[in-house]
Amino acid sequence: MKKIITVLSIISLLLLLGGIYLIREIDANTSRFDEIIMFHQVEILREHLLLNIRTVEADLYSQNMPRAESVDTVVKHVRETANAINACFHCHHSEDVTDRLLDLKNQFGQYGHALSRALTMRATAGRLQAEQGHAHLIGDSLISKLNTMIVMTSKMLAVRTEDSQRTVHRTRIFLIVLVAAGPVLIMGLAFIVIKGVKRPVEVLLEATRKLKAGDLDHRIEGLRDEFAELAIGLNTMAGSLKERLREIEESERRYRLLFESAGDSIFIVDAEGKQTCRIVEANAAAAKMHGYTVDELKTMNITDLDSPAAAACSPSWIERMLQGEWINVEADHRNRDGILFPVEISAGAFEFGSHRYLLMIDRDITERKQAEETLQRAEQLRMAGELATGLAHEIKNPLAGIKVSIEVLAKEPYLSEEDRGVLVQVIDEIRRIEVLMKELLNFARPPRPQFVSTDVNAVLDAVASLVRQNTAHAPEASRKIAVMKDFDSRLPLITADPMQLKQVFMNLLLNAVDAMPDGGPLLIKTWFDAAAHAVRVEISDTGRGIDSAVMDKIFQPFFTTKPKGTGLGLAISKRLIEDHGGRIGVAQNAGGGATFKIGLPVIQSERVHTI
Amino acid sequence: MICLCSFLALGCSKESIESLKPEQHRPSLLIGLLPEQDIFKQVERYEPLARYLSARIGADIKLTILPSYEQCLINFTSQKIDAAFFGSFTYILAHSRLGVQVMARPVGPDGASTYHGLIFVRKDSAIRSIHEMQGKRFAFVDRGTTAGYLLPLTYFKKWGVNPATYLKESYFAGTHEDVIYDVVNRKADIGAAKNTVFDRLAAKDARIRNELVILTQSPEVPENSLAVRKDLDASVKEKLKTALLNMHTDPEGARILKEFGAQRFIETTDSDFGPLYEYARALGQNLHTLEDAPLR
Repeated sequence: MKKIITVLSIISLLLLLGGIYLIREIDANTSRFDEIIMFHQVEILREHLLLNIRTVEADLYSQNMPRAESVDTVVKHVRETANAINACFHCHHSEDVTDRLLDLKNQFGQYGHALSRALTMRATAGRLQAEQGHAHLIGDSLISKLNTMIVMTSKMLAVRTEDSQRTVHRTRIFLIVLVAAGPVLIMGLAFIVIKGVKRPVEVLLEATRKLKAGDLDHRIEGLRDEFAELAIGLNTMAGSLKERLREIEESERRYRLLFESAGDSIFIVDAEGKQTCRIVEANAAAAKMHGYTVDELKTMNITDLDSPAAAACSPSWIERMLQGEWINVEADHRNRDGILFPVEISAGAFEFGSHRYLLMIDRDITERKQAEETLQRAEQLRMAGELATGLAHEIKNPLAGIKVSIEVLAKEPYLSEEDRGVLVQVIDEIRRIEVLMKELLNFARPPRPQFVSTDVNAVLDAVASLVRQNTAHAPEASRKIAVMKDFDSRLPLITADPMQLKQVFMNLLLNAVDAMPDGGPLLIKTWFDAAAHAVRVEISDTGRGIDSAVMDKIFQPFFTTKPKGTGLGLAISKRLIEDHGGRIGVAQNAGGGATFKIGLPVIQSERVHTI
Repeated sequence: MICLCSFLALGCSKESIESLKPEQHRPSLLIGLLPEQDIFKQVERYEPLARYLSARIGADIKLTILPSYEQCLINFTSQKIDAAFFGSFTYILAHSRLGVQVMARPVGPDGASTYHGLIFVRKDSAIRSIHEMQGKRFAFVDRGTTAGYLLPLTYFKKWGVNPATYLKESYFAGTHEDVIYDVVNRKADIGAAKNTVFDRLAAKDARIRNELVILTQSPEVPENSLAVRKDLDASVKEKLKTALLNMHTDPEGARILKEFGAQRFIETTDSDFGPLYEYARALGQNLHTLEDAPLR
């Protein structure tokens, strides 16, 4: 920049100096020409003066002639001459010329006087002649002096003219040089300036493009002066930008990690405008929880995930959130398969860039709900158990009394066979009540399992044999049941109570036999689930299957579909398996019938392992 | 020629053009001037007065020099001159012969409206009376002047001397000034001139008082007076007279009067010249047949 200013200053100065020189020269030439014109005028004036004096002289000569001019004419001539001389004093002259003019004027005065005398005098011829001679003498002298002055003027005029012509010639040459060299000089200087600016500007432009493209590691080098300062500024800016970008990225990563690794679903939802309820952002947990990908979720509305009941409530929730309330509600969400699951929603509104969004944190509370249900059921069972125990205790003794009395009565010989039959039926019913009492007590106060190392395959084998014997005297159809065993020979021994396992398996197998009145294959399958370190048992029948309406009720106590069932079998089985830290479930088979699935942990570690 | 000169001199002397431009459509009036002094100076002296009067009376006044007093009367008629500032003796001649009517004359700065003639010589000459004048050179002014001719003639007559023979040389220098300077410059031994010119020159040139001595003087006669031809239009005559007599009351006129060397103009009549008529008669001059004296 300094260089440019310097160069421009030099150009301006040169132009200014050239201009001043030209103006001065033109001015000087003009004055010279004025001077020359003036000299010409002076020359003309002096010649005119000479002419005047000559006229006067002629008047004097002709005074004695017949054609003498009148005195008035002479007076006129003399006065004109005097005026012409006086006119000379109006112009500026050198001291020398002024002196000469004064001399001339003075002498002309004398001449006038002599003339006057010659004109007015009446005297002898000699005296008159003398006077006229005197006048002539002065007149001649005047003419001579004037001639000298005219010659002087002419000479000076010649010298000045020549001098002026020389100067004009010089000025013209200078002007031509200036006109020719000026543009060349300016172009040369302009080239230097442009060259000096072009490269740095290109470098800076290139750097700017790179920075724009994101190359924050690019640094400008090799510039000088102000461009160097600019380069340092740009380099520093790029460095700061990179650092800032790194910090932002790190921060973003931190929050992204927090967002992505959160166990709860996090949604950011548009809260206003046309896109209200549109999911703007969702984390991986949300995707996993609902069975969609994050990208799919971003094309959906949050209400698409709500159960119909929750969807009905959502407008009022959004309204509350937009009013600044942070809500905590429980609702059901629906996953991709349409399965509802309970979630706890913690949500509120926030503003970002003058647009309002909703932040929703959803937690899957299925397990908590199950745990709550389990707890509730356990409580029900405990109460039922206590009730049953109390009741059994109160009923047992009177019932025993009744039974003994009836048995004694039934042995009475006078009874008709018909009456005796009725009593025997009564006794049978009493026995049924006793069994019920016993199971009820068993369910309410189950015996603590005695854990030993147990071979599940062996227990199943034993139970299968028992069932086969049991069905040997069963109706025709039951005998057509084909028990197929698919046992995993590498099944590890597990820590379990074999008697309780036997009770569970027996119960399940008998249920299966009951479910297949027309016979059919009954599959028993075992395998080792290495991932869960558990033994899996599946018992599949090919019977009627279970109504989906009752599917989730079959493990509830006192729920039965059999006319003479107690409704406690499956409830006890479930309780025993859970006492082993295992799980039991049921599923409908695709080709009919149902499959009971049991998972038992290999090792009992104070019920830490829950399969 | 003057116009051309003036233009070339780039306005060096515009005033001269203005002054010489003829004024048209106005009656013109020609006024003659006697060679009282250097004829060029005489014109310069009367020009402002002429311009002033031109403006006042609405006429174009032109000045003309009458080169000699004796020619005056001839020229007055031949040039058809309307008026002239006559010397006193010239006036009585003109009045006698042409019937001109005197109108006004100036009053000098000292209050005098009359003058007298003087006869003088150089102090260093031996001439102090008529006796020493024999064989000397005498400078008269003009035959038509009181001071420059009538007085010396009276002087010679008083002493019974014929100047034509008594003097070595006598001549008419033409102007009073020339007579005075001819004596100063020893071109003549004795001179006769009027006291007003003598005093005016003496005020500027000390030699005149230092080197000259006055031998005798004439009686007082009226100063050069303006007289007009008898047949001049009466209204013009009246206007001219009024303008002159009232000139001193007008600031512009007063200024010109001061330059001219006068306080004012006063009314003058032929009777004012009574003593001069007597003086001339005593000399035996016949005013109607004044002859040229012989020059030697």
